[in-house]
Amino acid sequence: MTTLEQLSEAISLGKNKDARLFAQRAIDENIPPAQIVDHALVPAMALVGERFKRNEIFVPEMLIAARAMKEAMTLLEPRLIAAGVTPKFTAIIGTVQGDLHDIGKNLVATMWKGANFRVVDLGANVSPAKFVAAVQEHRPHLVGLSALLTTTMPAMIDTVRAIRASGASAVKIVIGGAPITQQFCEEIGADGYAPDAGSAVDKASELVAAGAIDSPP
Amino acid sequence: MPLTSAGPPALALIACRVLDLELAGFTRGAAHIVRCETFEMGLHDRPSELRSTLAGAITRAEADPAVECVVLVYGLCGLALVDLAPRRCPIVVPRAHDCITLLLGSKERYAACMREEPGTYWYSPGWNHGQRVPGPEREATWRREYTEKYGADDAEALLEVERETFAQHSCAGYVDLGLAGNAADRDYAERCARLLGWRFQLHAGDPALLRDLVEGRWDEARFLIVKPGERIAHSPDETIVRAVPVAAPPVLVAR
Repeated sequence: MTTLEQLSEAISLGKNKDARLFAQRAIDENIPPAQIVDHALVPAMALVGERFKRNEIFVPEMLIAARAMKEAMTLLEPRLIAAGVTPKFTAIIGTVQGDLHDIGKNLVATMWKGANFRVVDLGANVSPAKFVAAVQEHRPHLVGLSALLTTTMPAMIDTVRAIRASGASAVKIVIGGAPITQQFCEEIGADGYAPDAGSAVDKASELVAAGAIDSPP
Repeated sequence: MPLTSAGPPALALIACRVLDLELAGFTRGAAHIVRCETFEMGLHDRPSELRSTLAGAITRAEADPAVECVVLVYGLCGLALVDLAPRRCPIVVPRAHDCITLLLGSKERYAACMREEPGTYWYSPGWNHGQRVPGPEREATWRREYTEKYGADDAEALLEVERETFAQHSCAGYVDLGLAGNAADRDYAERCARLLGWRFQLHAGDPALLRDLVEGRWDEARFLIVKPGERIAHSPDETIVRAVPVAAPPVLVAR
């Protein structure tokens, strides 16, 4: 197994200390930090998401894997900055109004940072107006909306409508959270749905690439 | 299948054990309830498992010739009810996101409470007894279970994540339906609030929704009746659930 494969396995199994060990080893082997994120962290979290969907693992296992991923990221983040890897894209992320759950949102924010997005985290219980104000201030390429509860899914609809109505038509909106589905994404006119933190990275990259946006909307 | 002058149809109740105490009060001696199956609380954390559990229970209820109608004493519960479809008997479900709606008496009241205090974590006798609410027993129980399963180091990390999650909450809301032993449960919720540094809020329960659900008073505003050939679908608006033909394509929400 290569170091990146070992790192990926350590993260997906939630082995915190091994994740740190193999992340350090990958750095020592002069593997560029962005490559470590792309080829070890992203696939590991995607695998965790798939296992969760298949009921092979549950929330605790996912959280343990996230902790291992964050452990690796603490070593990689300063090196990404030192390597002069400047974020090409900006993303805003938040949990929608009425919803205080932020574990999933935090996980996606960390993953997006790892994938070289500048991430503006608005926190939890964010009103549509606050999302719109942040879109106008930061002019992001991407907005991520999270909701854990079915009670707060209508707030996600309101937020998508508010962002569209604000005239920021080019910004891509990606949604996620336990009750969110691809069908709901299509129904409310969001641009993408990410079932887990790993695929949130792929979806974000795919959306900004598809938009061929090199300058903010 | 509305209530007729002859009384409610013969019911099979399929319920979550978190409502055991409350249901006992409404179903004792009710001749129209011909069978009842209950399942462990907290299955909403694993919606696909809850869905298949309920589907199995529906099949068993429909195989009982005495049953005319199946009542699900559940809310939408993390979308677990979506796609459940009866074959022989109509299924009745409350228009509710979860059991708290059933304790508070209406989805409108639940929504108002959450608008007023989105940081509410809900307590009830069932949740208290199941040690599922944030408090001293829950942490001790979960520390034991996590340590057994994941080892001490990961157990502490998981508990830390939990504490972070709860840190977003600011209020323990206890729903008081006036059940026997209620004072002890209310006191427990208040003690948890003090321990967590949260405000404590007492909400008077309203049994009307739960009582009408099991007694067969099903108006369209509060209940959904799903007929054979239909399935339950989520409606991301104030109606919460809707019935669609089994093979229906998704209904688009107006943008």
